[in-house]
Amino acid sequence: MPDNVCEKPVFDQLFREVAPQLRNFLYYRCGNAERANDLVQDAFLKLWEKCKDVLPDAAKSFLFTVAKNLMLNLVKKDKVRFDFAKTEETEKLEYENPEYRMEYTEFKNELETAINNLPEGQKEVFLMNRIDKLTYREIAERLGVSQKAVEKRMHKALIKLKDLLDGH
Amino acid sequence: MDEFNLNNDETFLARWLAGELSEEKLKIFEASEEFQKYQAIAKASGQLTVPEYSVEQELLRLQKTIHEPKQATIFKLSGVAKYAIAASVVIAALVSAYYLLFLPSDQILYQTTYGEKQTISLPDGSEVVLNASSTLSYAASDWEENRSIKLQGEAFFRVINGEQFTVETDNGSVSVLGTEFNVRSRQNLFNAVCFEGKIRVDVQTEAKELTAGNSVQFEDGILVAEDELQNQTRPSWMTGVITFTDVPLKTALEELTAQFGITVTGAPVDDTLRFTGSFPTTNASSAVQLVLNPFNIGYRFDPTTNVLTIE
Repeated sequence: MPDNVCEKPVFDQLFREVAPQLRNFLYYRCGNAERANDLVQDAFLKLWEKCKDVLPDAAKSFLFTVAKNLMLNLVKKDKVRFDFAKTEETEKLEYENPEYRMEYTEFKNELETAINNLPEGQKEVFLMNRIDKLTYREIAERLGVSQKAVEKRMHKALIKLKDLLDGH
Repeated sequence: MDEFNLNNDETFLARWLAGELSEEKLKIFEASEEFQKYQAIAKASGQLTVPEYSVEQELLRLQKTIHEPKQATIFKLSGVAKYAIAASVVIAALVSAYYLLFLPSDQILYQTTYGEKQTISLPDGSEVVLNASSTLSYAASDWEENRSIKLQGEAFFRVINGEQFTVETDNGSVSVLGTEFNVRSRQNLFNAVCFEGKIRVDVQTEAKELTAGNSVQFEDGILVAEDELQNQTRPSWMTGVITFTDVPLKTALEELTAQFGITVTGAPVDDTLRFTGSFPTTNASSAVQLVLNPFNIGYRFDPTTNVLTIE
């Protein structure tokens, strides 16, 4: 049975798989969760309209491309600073050794600031890997670039983060 | 570690993070002075999270935008699970039904969202009135031999005499030869009312035969009530009134969601509270009052956002 994006189960499955990643990707770029959620809706509506023309294998990169374009129309090129959610991990630490807690929290805050100072291309690759746990190949497919390019950005992001944390 | 790797190998750290370095290279890197720092960055960044995203809720929102017909639409599934509009019926109220579940081919599905009712004619002339926020499906091909219907939610049935007619729900089934009856199966509450003829109600552990004018109610598969009707010929919801007798308060709140699309948030509701009473399906605010005022519970209801907050 040839899969067709117009088929509800295929479409829903795509949504469940891709929407969370797409939303986070948009969030990394625009820094506004609500707006990111809405853009995901818009991107999937576009996919639904074009479901006859888009093969399931191509749907992921289609969605990311559409979303990027939608966002370009929306977001002015101002510096995006977004917030990370407070993790249970950090909350748990509050009951542990207070000195360690402070050090760790401080380090995390510095790291978050450093991430926000990464160039856009490096930032989203870094976060798609660290938060969404996507492999370099998966990131490459979604962004429409080579895997090598993704690995280079990741490498650069790590060096840059270390430099920033070192106070360079 | 010498700067050799980091400067000349443009993907070194990426491969390290993915665990793709050779043992030899990894050993050299681990011995280097910056290793600890990269390790700390990797560890802390692996614990980062972003604001939560509720994928099912967002999917539902998308489906509502996609399938927002201003009249009742029936989607039929045929062939390779490709669906086409089989018929569209205009009902006085805005009624929409959309195909939500993955169904085997040849299944016909009706769905109402909150605030909607829909009257459905089955192939044998039997009639179903579907209450709000309910889903009904059946296989069209062998209808004559197998009059079997799947139901989530609530519906009233007027069955033409013929082969055994069965309504299957997650909580149990109701079967008849020809009669009028109401089935309600939402969450763990299962209720059947026989208005005419005779029905058989099956749950996992037991079976009950009901004659006209009787009703049974099960919670989690356990019989909790057997009642006689008082001169009632139709379920009250068909005339715009929801009636409950001794149900968990939670059930009444769920019905508010089913009828008005109200989102209930805030403090959890005491599981032991029971509700007996009625409320209209025409006015959300007064329905909320009628359900909650008998209890010593603080609440706020905002009609514009349709959010009910329990305090």
